[in-house]
Amino acid sequence: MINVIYYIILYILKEDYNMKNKKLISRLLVAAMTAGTIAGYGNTGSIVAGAASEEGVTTTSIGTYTVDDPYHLVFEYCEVSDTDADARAAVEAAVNEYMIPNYQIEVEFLPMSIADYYANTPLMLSSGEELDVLPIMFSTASSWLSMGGILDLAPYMDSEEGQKIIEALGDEETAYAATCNGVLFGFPANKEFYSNRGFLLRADICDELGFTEKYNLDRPDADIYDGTGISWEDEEAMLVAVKEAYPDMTAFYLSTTAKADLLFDLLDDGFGVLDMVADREGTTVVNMYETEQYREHVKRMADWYDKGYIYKDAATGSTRADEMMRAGNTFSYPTNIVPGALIGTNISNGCKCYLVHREPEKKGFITTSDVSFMNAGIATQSKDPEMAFKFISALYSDPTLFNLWQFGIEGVHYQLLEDGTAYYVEGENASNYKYHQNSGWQMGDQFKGLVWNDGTAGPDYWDALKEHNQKGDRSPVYGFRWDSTEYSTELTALNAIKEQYIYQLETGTCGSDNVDDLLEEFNEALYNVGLQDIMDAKQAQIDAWLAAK
Amino acid sequence: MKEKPYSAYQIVSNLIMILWAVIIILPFVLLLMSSITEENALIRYGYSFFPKKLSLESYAYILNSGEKILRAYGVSILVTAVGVILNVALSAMMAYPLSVKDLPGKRLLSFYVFFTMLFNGGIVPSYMMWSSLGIKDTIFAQILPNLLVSAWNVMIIRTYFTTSIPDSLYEAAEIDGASQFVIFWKVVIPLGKPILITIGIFSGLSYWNDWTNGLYYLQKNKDLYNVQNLLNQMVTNISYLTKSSYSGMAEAAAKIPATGIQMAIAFVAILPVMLVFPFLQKYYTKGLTVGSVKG
Amino acid sequence: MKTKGKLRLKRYLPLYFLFLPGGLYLLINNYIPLGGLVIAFKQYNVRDGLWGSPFVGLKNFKFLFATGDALLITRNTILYNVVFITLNTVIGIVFAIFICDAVSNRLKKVYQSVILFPYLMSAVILGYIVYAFLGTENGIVNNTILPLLGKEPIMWYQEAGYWPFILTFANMWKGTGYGCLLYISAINGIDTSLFEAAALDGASRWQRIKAITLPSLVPTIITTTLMHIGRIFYSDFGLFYQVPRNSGALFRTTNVIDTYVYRGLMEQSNVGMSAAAGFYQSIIGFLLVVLANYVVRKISEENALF
Repeated sequence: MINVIYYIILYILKEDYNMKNKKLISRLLVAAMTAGTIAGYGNTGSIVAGAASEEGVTTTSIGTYTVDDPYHLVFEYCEVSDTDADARAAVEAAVNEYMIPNYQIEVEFLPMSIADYYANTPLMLSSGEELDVLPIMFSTASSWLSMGGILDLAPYMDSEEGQKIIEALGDEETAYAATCNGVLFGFPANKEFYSNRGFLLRADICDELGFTEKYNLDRPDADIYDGTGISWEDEEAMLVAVKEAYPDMTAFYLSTTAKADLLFDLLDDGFGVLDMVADREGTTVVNMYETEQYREHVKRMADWYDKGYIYKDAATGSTRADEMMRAGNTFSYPTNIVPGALIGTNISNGCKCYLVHREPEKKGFITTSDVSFMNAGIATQSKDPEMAFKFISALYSDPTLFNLWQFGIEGVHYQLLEDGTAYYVEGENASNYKYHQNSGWQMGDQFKGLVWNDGTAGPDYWDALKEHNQKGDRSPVYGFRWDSTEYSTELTALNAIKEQYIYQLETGTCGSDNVDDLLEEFNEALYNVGLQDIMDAKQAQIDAWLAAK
Repeated sequence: MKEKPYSAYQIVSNLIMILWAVIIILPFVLLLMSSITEENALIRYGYSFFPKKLSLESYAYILNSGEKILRAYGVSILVTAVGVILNVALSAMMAYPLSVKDLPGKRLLSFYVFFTMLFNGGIVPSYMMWSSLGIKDTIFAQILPNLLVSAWNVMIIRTYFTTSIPDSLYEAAEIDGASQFVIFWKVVIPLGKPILITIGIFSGLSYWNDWTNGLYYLQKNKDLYNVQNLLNQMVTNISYLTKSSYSGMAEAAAKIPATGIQMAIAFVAILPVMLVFPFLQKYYTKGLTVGSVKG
Repeated sequence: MKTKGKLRLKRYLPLYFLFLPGGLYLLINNYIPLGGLVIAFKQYNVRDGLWGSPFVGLKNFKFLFATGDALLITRNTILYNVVFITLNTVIGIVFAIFICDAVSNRLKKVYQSVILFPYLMSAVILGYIVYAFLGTENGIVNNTILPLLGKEPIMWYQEAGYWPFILTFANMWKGTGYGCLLYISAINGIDTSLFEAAALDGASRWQRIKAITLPSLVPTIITTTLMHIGRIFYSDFGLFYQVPRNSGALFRTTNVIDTYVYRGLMEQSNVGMSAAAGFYQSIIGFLLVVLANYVVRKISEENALF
């Protein structure tokens, strides 16, 4: 009975949807025909990939678009800063003033707060609402793909637009990094692709206790990797001295959100990884929680916890490390270092700080998942994916579009400083601006855009990041992503188990007496729910991928 | 009665209730105090009833959003008021037939209502259903989905109607020739007042506390955000901003009192309701006398 | 015969009309989307839709039993629910009686307002507040209360043994108000002349409670208990996830079905599996409630839910 009703309703909905599509298609056909006659451009269809554009007319295999009848494109993006709605409408108008004549695309902004993005995007994808271009996180990509919500972009790559994207990202491996189960679902934003491991230390105490000279900490270019740095033992020596001089101080701050990153290529989920310390060129999948690197680390943390260096609530705390530092009772914490980080951390930590690389012989490296953290992709319901692809390509090749979207209208929402960087217009600042996104890390080529000069970055900022990326080693399986569809049951169980152990282990709160037993128990639990199967499957896929390469 | 000294029972029972009231209120005091504690003191010394340093920065940050928050309060109040009235009306209308002793099909109808408490089809089908009815980006999005009728409330009201309204009253009314509508309006509603007000309060709380409807069904029209939506958005954006290691965020992030603001936000959402509660009291402190309705 | 049937119709038809609007709402809001339950048995994808997606049998359910903890988690869920239902009922009734007998109307108003306040506090905030009391570095209990009593600090978030009590107390703090208010309205619904007559007869307060108040609360108790049984495989996610701060050392006593499902699925949003978890929780509750309802029907038909 219920099912019958359900069928009926679904049928009605579907009919309605089809009707809309039919109407739309006929509208498009009419538009295409008239456009064709007016412009004297009769060639409709037959273009497999990429849209042809000529003098204010764009034709794809689906339709023809003109300045008077542009393609209406819905562009979803994450908006993390409060933006004035009127100012956004003004920017949208400015974008269209530029986009319609040049691309025959009329853009409709669909800004989402982070919470909205997570909640709404799957619903919009599964219910077929009007949507073209959207940001896709690599972690959600596989489920959105398996429910058929996002498009494979590979068929569109063999075009001028595709070339532009590859050019922007540097090489094909990077352009294809956002591939999942053989499907190219998006393109990574151009940003820093890896970081180096390090420590952050409070400067005044380092000066006072003589660490600054001993370890040569006070360097303006400390955030650029040059092969120097300190070891875990050096750090421990400092903690001992700090603990003695300031017994009440948190010598080493850790929390659930601030843990020390180790050197593994996590291969997406961390179950079956490549140990980059044991073998930097190796492609053998191992269990991270059984490696010497991991064991050594958690034992050290447990030891430090027992000795009182580590924050006591580390396993449950969620206060950010820089907030802790600003509150004035913390000496150091583990951090990741990228060019430009030094000035940024000084501001966010509220005091002068030193950054120092940890175990400099172990340099950071580029992995598939870091590069493709967030990507520009196309929703299945896009009425003309070729036009959507053209728009994405513009995000990677046309700074005018990118800067408008990111910073608004020059002279109204931002000003160009003398050195070519951008900042709020006179009278506006971080708390009273009207329009400001500065979220180029989600989609597009930031390196072609403006540098936002809030004191943390100078005109050569993008160059520094580019150089950083070029200098980075790549994981031996860079570009590989494993197909986990068959293993969702095992992964669910593994994730549930992981949550029980990693915080106690990695923050040392389990204590030295328990650490071995706990680690053993953890590994046993992992193997019991099929870790070995996952590792074998990963290994087999890697081997096949390497062979194909 | 008044001249009598309090009995041991009264003294003990009131002492227990006062103690319980203190236990309930203390966390709220702590919440208030931490929302006005200076950010660094809050992180360094933790939440305390006697903060070392006070600051209203968190509230200043919230007020910065200006008219947005006022409008959100407006939406919350409107939605709660309309929602409660509809919820109580519909629930009572459903509950009354289910309480009539010999209504044919009563068991089936009761089961029909109760079943919805156990199973649900998940967010995707609900979303498709409601969007096909065109409620998206309208005020109905805040009122209609999920909250309008709750099977739980219907069952509670039904139990009350069954037990607290004597059958003799119905019979008397029927002999007088009153129609079912008249009985419902003139007998059931007045006698059911204690439970209807209680259910109204709970439905009001769920409308006031809800942020999921706004999250799912208001995609383009954020003007219809209620207080919870706005505050929820603030919290996620802040936590995102401050966690992000990306460039250009540091300046904005460093200025936000991230920890204290959560407390301030929670307090801002709670305060109006706390102030309204005592005024609702007069509607349900008094017991009803059946006789008064009879007469 | 004919007139009798007509009379019956005339008598009952309006009742069906009264039921109709709410019934339609439930149809739209609950019954039609119920078709989504089939996702639990399917490998869902948008292109094939709800009905076209391939069937995968019980595959989506497997993860619920994939770890050796399935038994422990189920046990925790049921035990907590049983304790919560019992305590909330007993304390709700006691407090309701206390409140109705408050020495002054002003106090009565205060009690009634205050017991509802916890409803305004979200689980996230409650988690912070509990942490403010029990945290190791800055917790009020460890820093102020225990030293005053001359006791050593306790690592609350690492000792699983304390948590059944902490969670039960937190649940009481949050949940007593609801039952309490229901019972108050039930007591308010009692014909006051009954109490007056009993007082005239010289019945003691306890006798009046036993003879008049408690019996009149029984239907409400049965209704709420039956409804709680229907949800016995569910738990208040916020209470079990936010309040223990996801501390792994506490899982032995804090892990319930809802938190297990959340932890497993949070990194891979799988609609099939989450639908399967919901279906599993509902179907067990459904079977139990049908059974319990049958028993209630046998004993006193008018108190049965359906």
